[in-house]
Amino acid sequence: MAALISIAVFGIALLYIELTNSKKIQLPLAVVGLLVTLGLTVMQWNHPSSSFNNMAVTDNYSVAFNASILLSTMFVVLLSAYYYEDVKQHVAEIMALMLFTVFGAFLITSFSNMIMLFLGIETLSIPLYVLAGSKKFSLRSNEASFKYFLMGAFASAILLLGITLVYGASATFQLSAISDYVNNTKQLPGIFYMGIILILVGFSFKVAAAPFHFWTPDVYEGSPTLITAFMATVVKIAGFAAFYRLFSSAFSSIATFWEPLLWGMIILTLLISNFAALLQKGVKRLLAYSSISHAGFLLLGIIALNKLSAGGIFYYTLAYSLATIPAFGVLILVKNHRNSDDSIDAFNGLAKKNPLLAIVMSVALLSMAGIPITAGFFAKYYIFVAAIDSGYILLTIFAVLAAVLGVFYYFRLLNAMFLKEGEAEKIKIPVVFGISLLITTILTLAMGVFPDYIIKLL
Amino acid sequence: MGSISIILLMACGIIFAVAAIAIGRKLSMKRFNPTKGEAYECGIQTEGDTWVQLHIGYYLFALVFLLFDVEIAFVYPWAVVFKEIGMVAFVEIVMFVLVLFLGLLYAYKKKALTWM
Amino acid sequence: MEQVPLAHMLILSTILFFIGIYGFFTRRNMITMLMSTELILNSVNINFVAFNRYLYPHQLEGIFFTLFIIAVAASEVSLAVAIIINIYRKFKTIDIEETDTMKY
Repeated sequence: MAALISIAVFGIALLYIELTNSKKIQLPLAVVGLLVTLGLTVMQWNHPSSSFNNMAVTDNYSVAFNASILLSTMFVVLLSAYYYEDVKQHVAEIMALMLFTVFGAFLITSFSNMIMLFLGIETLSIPLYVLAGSKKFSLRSNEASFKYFLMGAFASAILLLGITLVYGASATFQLSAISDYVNNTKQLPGIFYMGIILILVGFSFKVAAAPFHFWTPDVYEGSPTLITAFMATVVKIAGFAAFYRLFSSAFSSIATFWEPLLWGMIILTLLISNFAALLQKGVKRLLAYSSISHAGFLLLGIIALNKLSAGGIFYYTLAYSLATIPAFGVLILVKNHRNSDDSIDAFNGLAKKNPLLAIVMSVALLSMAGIPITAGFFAKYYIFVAAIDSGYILLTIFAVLAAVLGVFYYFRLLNAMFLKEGEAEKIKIPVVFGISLLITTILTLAMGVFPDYIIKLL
Repeated sequence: MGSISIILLMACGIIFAVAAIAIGRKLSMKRFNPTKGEAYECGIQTEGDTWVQLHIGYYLFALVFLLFDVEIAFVYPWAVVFKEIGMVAFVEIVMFVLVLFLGLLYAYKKKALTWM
Repeated sequence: MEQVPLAHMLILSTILFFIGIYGFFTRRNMITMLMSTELILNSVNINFVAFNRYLYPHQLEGIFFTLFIIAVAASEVSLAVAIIINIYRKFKTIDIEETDTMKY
């Protein structure tokens, strides 16, 4: 709870800093806020507690996810120093909105009551709608913002209907009480099953799993690149943390009902996203489809539902964030130097003139593809082990094939950077930007070499 | 029993209204002159197009109002249980209002409340 | 006085829900789409209050959930209207079909 208060206070402080129009203290204040919150979060490790009349529970699971959310936000905020260099207004507001999003993310990683889940999802989403439209004078940004809003509001409405139906059957919003209800009732009423389906649909909208993924490419492409990086990482981590928390506690006893649905969704997600990604010309859109395919792999951890899956999902989301942020970071630099051209051809010959950027990008892409010695390999490995442990052998084989297919489109980009000739000039890398890119790359490699330290946390 | 009287009442009402209009149409004389065709028989003539665009500032006010208006929904249940809970409830509502006030102050500082 | 049975409430909320879904998928005006999502939220509100009042009259949880939904829906609406105003200033239209700078 201390962490929640701290992030909210720093968010409001940032809003008021904007009024003074002093650009110098914005970034330090945001970083200090995130660090303080990180400290308060880590202090709760091994000290489980509950707050808000037992509506939120802080345990090791939520602390781990919260810490990785804070880490990702930190990198995004550091990158923003360069991204918003020439922007005079509203920068502190954008950071404040990011902190409010993190507030919502905290609520949904640690909820134990449906009211908290709903409030958290909304506090997570509402600032994001604004952030997606934060390039006020760009048509695409506005369009992305509105599309995101419509889909988000629709998904919340579906989720809410699911929650009402579950409430109608079980008379409670408390996860443990719902679980007791499921265990003690012989014949569950039909509305309970319907409620679970609707909650599942609502969540798949939020985490962008097929067949409810169609908003993702447009929104990711239209939003400002830095915001896309933020959305792709923080929302995914928090969304999956909440998804797993809900389905592993409240609905775990009737897994036989919802697992077939999830099974179909995973197959569809992996198929659609990987084939669509093969056809993309723009890098931003390619990364959007790759993010959908990662959602497919992460769902594998939820369907497994055993003691390996919490750790697997945590490792996967962390590895995915640490790969996504530098990938978008390099994209920002390349795009700025190529007059907003983000096609794959814009990366031609990057390695010759900018070896550092090329290396950072390749490590990120290899990690996404799941090539050994990067974190991505072990991320996929742990998820697959969890799935096989629960007996989903066919599904795992399919997922491995999808991962192999994924390698193709990541290698198209690598091919452009290292083998093709291009009229690339040298790109000057700003200091803070370069350092954060390097740190994420080193962390990716470190996680790949010593995966045990992370996976043993949960 | 109850529904029959309602249906009877509705039927009477409809017949009365329709009959009044129909008889009036049938019996009245129809003579037109330009003054009768005006929108208002008395008062001021409208100037220009009625579909004028409202000033954008109007929407800003409406949005800010909407946001703070709805928060009252939380104060009602608080008022109901205030006596039972006592001091804790008071402190909590003060914090709630304080946060709202910070939002309002921000809107004020951003000049969202000045008519432009 | 006779009570309206629970089933009627649920039928009402289901009808509202599907009117909302229908409006959401067929209407192309942004404001109308927004209104449709509000209809869906209100159908959910009716559901909550009805379940609470008829099935579990000794507790208040459902009614409080409704309060939260109302507050959140209001903030969503004001945000959406702000976005729509901004879009109207740029595109000079609020038809969703015409705001298609991005295609698959």
